[in-house]
Amino acid sequence: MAAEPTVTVGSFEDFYLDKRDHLVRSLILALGNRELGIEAADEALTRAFQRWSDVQTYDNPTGWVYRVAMNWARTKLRRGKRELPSVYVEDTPVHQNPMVEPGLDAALASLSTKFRSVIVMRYYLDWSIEEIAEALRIPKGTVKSRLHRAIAALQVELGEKP
Amino acid sequence: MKLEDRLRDHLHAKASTFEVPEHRFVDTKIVPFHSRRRQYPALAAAAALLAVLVGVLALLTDLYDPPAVDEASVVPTLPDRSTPATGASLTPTFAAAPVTLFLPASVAFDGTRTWLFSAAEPGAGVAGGRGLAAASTTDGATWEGHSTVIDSAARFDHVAYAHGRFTTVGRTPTEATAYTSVDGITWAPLDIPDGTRPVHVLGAPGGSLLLVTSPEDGSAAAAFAALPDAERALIDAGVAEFDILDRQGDPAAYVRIGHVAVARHRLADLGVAVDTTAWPFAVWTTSDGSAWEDSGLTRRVPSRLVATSEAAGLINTDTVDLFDGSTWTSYTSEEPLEALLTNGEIPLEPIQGLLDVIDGPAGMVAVIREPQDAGEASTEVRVGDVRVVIGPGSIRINGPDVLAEISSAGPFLAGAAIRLGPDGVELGPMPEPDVVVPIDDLVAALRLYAAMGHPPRGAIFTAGDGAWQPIDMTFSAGSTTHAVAVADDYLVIIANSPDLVRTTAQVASLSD
Repeated sequence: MAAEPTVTVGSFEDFYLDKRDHLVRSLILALGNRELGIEAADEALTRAFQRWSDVQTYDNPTGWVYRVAMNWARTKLRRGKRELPSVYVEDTPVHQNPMVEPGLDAALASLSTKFRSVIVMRYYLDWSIEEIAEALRIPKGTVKSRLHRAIAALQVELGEKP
Repeated sequence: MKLEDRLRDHLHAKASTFEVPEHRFVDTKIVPFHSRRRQYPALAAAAALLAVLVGVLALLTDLYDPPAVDEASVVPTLPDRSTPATGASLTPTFAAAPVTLFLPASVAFDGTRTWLFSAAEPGAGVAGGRGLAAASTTDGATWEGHSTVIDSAARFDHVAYAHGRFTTVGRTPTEATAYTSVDGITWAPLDIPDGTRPVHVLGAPGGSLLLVTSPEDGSAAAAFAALPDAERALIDAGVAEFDILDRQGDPAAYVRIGHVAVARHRLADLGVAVDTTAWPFAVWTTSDGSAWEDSGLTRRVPSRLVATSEAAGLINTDTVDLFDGSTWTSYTSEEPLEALLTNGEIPLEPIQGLLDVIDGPAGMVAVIREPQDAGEASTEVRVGDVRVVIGPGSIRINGPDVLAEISSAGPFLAGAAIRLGPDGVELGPMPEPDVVVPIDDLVAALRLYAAMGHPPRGAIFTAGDGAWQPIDMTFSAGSTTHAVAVADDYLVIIANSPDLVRTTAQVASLSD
């Protein structure tokens, strides 16, 4: 699957219409909660709109929006101190989506948001290590380390690794 | 199949099951009110970029002919804020408005005319004058006086203008009456529910917000004027009742903005109120002023209510909860203030004591009280990334109207005690501060100075084109600005003299 094209110039409307759906789904996956993912995406997109003259010049505006959304959601989670229903423990219509692997839901649910986020960026958004590093403003080595640890944790959860 | 490949399949399949609602960001062409001025630099930048592209194209096609420099097309550049520029290229010229004003006075801009309202006759100190007189101008130079707008023994509060209506509250020692007017000259009383009395009116973009209270039980209600049905529906009988938060033992203290916060939301107006009739206090929200919803939030201490350009919310000494119409966002002392001020994500130092946040056209203004190394607390005013340390003492700013209290023993406001309150102005010894507040919006600058009790002498501001301009006001020392209105090319400032009797209005032309 090809990576999303980088948007450097264009109207916010185009960016919004092109990216919002994918962004919302990725944030739901990363945060594990549908409402929080939607709110985080809309919050971040609103802020991107307010600063669009700057944001559109970034190498990866979507990465900026993703980071802002995750920061916003983390703040909300810290303050909320309440359990949110997880999309990874809901009844997934497996019969409608044979590609959904039930065991992976529980494994993904066991990851912290930090690790699940890099998994989503790498394997759902199909961002490169460099793109993830730029979006999160962390070194590439840290991205690789997080991915490695996340994969290892998933393998343990799945019983594929002692 | 490798785990990585299974993850790809799983995540995409999983994501496809999510129901993503329709776009809530319904109108991306809406520009926040406070951003309007900033469109011009953006347009200039776009024009400059286009000019560059055209120039390159012309060069490539060997048709390039060096044009004369068009100064107007040069993209303005903001100066280094740490060293405010002087020597403006555009100097405002000030002239006294040819009207006589008596406290209390207020200014309103109805989109065409700037109105000065004041007491029709002089009064002493905070007792103020009586009646309501008005003068108006369309250009800041030619004024039309309206001799007797309301011939009444009542003393009139702030006049608010919103969506085609002026609204104010008139008081006598025994009663209060809300008045409304379409033209600023002909006024009519408003009917409000039996057993209540009006206490304050606030101009809000979605309509005037009138606070009423029940003298019997001290409860208060708030209602938007659902314009254009203001006269009919200014008070909605179904509005929830809320206790006044900071009664302070004085009924006049009701007259404070903040009991119900109104925000200029990007999509709709909204309000937040706190019901203190139960404990913990329930937080209610509204988007139209009539239908209130329990937000689910509770507070165990009576938070102050604040409004920013895009949200309304609650503030305690170290916590801000903002509601944008759909979502609550919380900021605490452990979290970056700049996240609140700029909606950005850059973490900076933590807040120690956030006293207040008010909205200004240039952005939010935060008032922070921070402990110093020596154990003393200083008060710091931030406008964006600009800070003004006032020194030990305290400051309280109620926005968006200029209502402020300051007391400080710091280096800049030594011994000053300034109070611009709902019942007029009370002044202690006035300072002669030499503080420059470089902020990128005139109104915010003047509001800040007014709130700080400063005459705007020496303030640095920009008229919106990025050029920083000094203001050299001619108010006498000790005057305080009381109200400010800005039209396209002029502004009107009402200032109160130190003796609280003489009130003058000055007009500054912002034209070349």
